[in-house]
Amino acid sequence: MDGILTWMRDSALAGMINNNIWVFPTLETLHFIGLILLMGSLLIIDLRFIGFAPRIPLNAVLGFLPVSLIGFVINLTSGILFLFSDPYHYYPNLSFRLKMLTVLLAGLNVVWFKLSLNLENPSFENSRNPRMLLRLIAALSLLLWTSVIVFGRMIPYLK
Amino acid sequence: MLDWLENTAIARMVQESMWGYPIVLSSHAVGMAILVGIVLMINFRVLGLAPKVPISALKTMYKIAFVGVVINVLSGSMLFVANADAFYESTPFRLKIILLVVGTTLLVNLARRIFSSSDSAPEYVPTRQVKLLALVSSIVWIGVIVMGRLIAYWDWKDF
Repeated sequence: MDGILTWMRDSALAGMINNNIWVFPTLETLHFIGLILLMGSLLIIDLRFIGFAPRIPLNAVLGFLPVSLIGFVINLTSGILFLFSDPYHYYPNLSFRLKMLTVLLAGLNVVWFKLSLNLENPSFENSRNPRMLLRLIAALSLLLWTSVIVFGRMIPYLK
Repeated sequence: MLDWLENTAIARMVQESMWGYPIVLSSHAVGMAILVGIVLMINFRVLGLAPKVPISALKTMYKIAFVGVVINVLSGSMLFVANADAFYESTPFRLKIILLVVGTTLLVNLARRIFSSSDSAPEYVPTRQVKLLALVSSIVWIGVIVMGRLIAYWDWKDF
């Protein structure tokens, strides 16, 4: 692991991020915008699946999913760049590790959500009442992604 | 006035307790995701995303965004009093407050236009003018985030 961390620290990419004072703040701002896109779209989708706003057809609300994907890609990219900029700060950090674990759990939860959607009956297109399992998965999604935000914000404090 | 604020019990708590500051900062990030996330998704829907979602049905989500307003007015006030003179002097902070006022005005204006019809009315279709309103509102709210992030870098370190 040490080899990888040293390689990251000494990479041209790390130099580029650390040698220009505007790169890091810009990446951080992008990370916040990505967070808002991901969390905002998932809030609408998950709240609908939990049972709010029943006039929105379930399949229609999935139209917000591309925004979640864009937000995730922005944050994966900016997040990897943070890691390159200071690998020995992030890798051993407790909050960072908890955040990565929570991202992994949230990702598995997305897979579970997708599998459960596929098991929905064929009338899903017009369905207004999600099954209990889907409600549970949606609530878990909001809990996990909120934890991701909190652990991210805790990185400088909970080491 | 600013000195007095920094010496109130609430300010002392945020400044001095080990977890006070990180907890308030995390709450501010979660409130931001709820408020700005939902605002952007409503704007994106008006601009044409997820076209099968009835716009009027998003009124529930608009009401839920108020949870983010409450969290962030409270956490924001706590962050402010803990460092009142530095925030007051900060250019990005002042711009953030101005953009917040503009963004809120645009949001309330948009909501009045798109959520006014009753459940039985034919589905609302946004006019060009309303779409422009949604676009400008999105840019202003992104501006709020950018300015919020810049507070930490303008003439200030470690936020």
